Amino acid sequence: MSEKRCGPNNKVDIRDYQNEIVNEIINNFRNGIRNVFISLQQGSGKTIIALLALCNLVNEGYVSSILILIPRRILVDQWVNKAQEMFYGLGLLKNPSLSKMRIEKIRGWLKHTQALGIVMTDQSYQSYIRKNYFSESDFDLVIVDEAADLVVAKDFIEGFRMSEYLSGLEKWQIRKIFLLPYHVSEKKIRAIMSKFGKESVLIRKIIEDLPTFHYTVNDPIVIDDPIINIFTDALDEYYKKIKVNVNRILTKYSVKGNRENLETLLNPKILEKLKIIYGIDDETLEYIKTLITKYILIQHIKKWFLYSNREELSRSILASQSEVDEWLRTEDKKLSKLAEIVKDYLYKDYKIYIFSQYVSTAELIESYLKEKLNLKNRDITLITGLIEDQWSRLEVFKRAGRILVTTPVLDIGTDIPLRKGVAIIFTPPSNIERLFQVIGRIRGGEIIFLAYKGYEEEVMNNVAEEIRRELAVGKGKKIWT
Amino acid sequence: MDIIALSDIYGDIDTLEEFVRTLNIRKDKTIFIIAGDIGITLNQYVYQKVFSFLAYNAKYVLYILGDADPKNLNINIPNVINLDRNNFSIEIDGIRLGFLGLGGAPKHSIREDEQLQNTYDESIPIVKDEILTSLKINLEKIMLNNPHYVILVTHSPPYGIADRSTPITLKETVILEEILSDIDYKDEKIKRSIASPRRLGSKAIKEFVEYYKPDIHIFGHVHKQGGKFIKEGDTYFYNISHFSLIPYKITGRKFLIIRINNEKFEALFDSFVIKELSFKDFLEKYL
Repeated sequence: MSEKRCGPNNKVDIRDYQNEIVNEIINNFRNGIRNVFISLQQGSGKTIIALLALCNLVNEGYVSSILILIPRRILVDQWVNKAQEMFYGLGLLKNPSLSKMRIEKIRGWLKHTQALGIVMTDQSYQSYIRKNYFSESDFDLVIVDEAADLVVAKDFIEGFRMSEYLSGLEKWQIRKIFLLPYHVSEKKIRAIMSKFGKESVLIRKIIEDLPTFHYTVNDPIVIDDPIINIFTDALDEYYKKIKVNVNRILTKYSVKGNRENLETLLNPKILEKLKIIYGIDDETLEYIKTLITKYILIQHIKKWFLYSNREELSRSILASQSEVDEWLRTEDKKLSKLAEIVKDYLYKDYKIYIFSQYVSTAELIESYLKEKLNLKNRDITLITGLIEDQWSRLEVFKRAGRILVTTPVLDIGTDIPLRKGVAIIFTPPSNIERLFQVIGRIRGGEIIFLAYKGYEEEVMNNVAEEIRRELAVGKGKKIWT
Repeated sequence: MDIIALSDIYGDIDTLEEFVRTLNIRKDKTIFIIAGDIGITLNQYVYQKVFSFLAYNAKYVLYILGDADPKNLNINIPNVINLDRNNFSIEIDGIRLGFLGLGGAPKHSIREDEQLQNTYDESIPIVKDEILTSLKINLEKIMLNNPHYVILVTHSPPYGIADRSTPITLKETVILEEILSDIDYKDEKIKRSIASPRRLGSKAIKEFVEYYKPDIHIFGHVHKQGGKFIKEGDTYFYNISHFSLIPYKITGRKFLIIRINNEKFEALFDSFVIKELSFKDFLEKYL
């Protein structure tokens, strides 16, 4: 028997279903399939499956150079270290740990060293391919991990679109493995698969025998602040008025589309289309642009009020309006409720995870809680995209911290086991899938939503309901994804 | 004594005149500070008109030019003083103030395709040294009068203080794209065309304030950070951008008022708006 070049270390516990899926992947490749999409629950070990398949192909001599794509720069290092800890023979080069100058030499290194491949971000892939640092001929397998980012938001023309960062990959003839969480809908995945042609297959399963984590999704805690309602109602009214005005113009010129997502009317290509096809004059187009800019601005402002973004508000002209000025002088009721809840859970010795969609809100939460609850620096950890030492801060939280305040920066590739923990959702997420990924990372516990009475209450109720539904489907043990 | 500081007016002369007329000014005790970007496409005549109007309404008008202003401008009005690489000392009611300034903006803070003339490339050592030398000489000169307060006026922020933004532009399309990217619009073509937010301030200015610690530092230029006040060490930093309605209506109409009495000062940001309007009417009028 020849010596295997690569494989799992003894301490890695390979489950039967993982071996079955690996065989399925290999058989598909043998039968001429080039693109295998794997969609499994969080915690089912998708990455282990992909690495097992990779080793299998390497050991059989089908693969000698691999490209692994990861969505975030900060995950590259962690991904390679963990992969090498679990598998022997995985000589992988990392980018961006190499300098920009050196990347041009990597093509040579890949050929003349024992490295099996390179791990980089989707963005780097796009940039390096464009600059011709690499091409398809340098590799014979691509693994796209956390490929949920491959499927970008619904586009009103094309339906589901593929991430621009990965575009071009669909033309590569070499084999590819895409790893996606189960909560990305099958419809979405199939829409993307169609771009990769007929030689694509989807392996999508619910792994039944995974131990479950228990989540308690509480109904949103509602905060009553009548002044907030005055502001949000006025903003809503203004928002609707603009929408009516834009729709009136579109109706006047018999424009049928573009109404679902008015922001697209700022796209120069769409404006050109309106001009050529519907004969809308330049002056009217300018007016539409002004209206849409206001429309977007109003959405922003509403979030400032609802998500305690007092810092931005106080720097805007709104802070000079007498009612807003008065409101800014009072204590923020949502933050004050948060402090109450946090105090309660700290007393019960829970680890607390606080989610905010916005960096400025997360920063405010951190400073407010620190002052209000007289916390020490090690008690509360803030991690946002603006902070460079994210991983070391996360380590501090895991070992000694009590409260973690973060934005969606930690939604993928990160384990945040809380054991006895509570996740508090301070602002609704921009994307429910992202929030679900975040919740999946904490391995069970209580989930609490905070919402102002009225508009936000409705949004948070829907989010809570959606989370309950997703958790009922995607329950499973987390190993490593 | 009142100091009223404005920045980034971008030729919005009508709003400026309206603002000054509504101020309850004690002419002999008021100083206007204009921290650059007064015009864009204004000619010498319009600059002259703006400064004449301000000069008529105040004891002194102290200004520097920004990246959007012409590099050389001749304003011949006795109480209008250009602080760019210059200094000025005054005493009002027994309080001595020393001003020094630096106009223009570092090249790295402007979008590459923006055609602005008043910039400096401080990555070139000789340029950075020249800036530092000028600031030091002017500080030495004002220190001869033993001022109660040293006030530095620059167009650019110091590096690292209220200066985080995407490179500055006034191009409407780019600003719209920035707004779209802020609301998490998932069009990566748009996202790619926008540079990531970064520190846009001047390293030369930072070096100067770090070592020479002026009491007050007033600057503009980085619109997104306008209205920020930071105290670091002994220095009070104020990003006073922006007064004009562009590039962002929601953060425009801003000014800083500094009141100095008995060797104490208080500073307050405010906006030139009708505060008593109902919230609904306020939105209609100003958005």
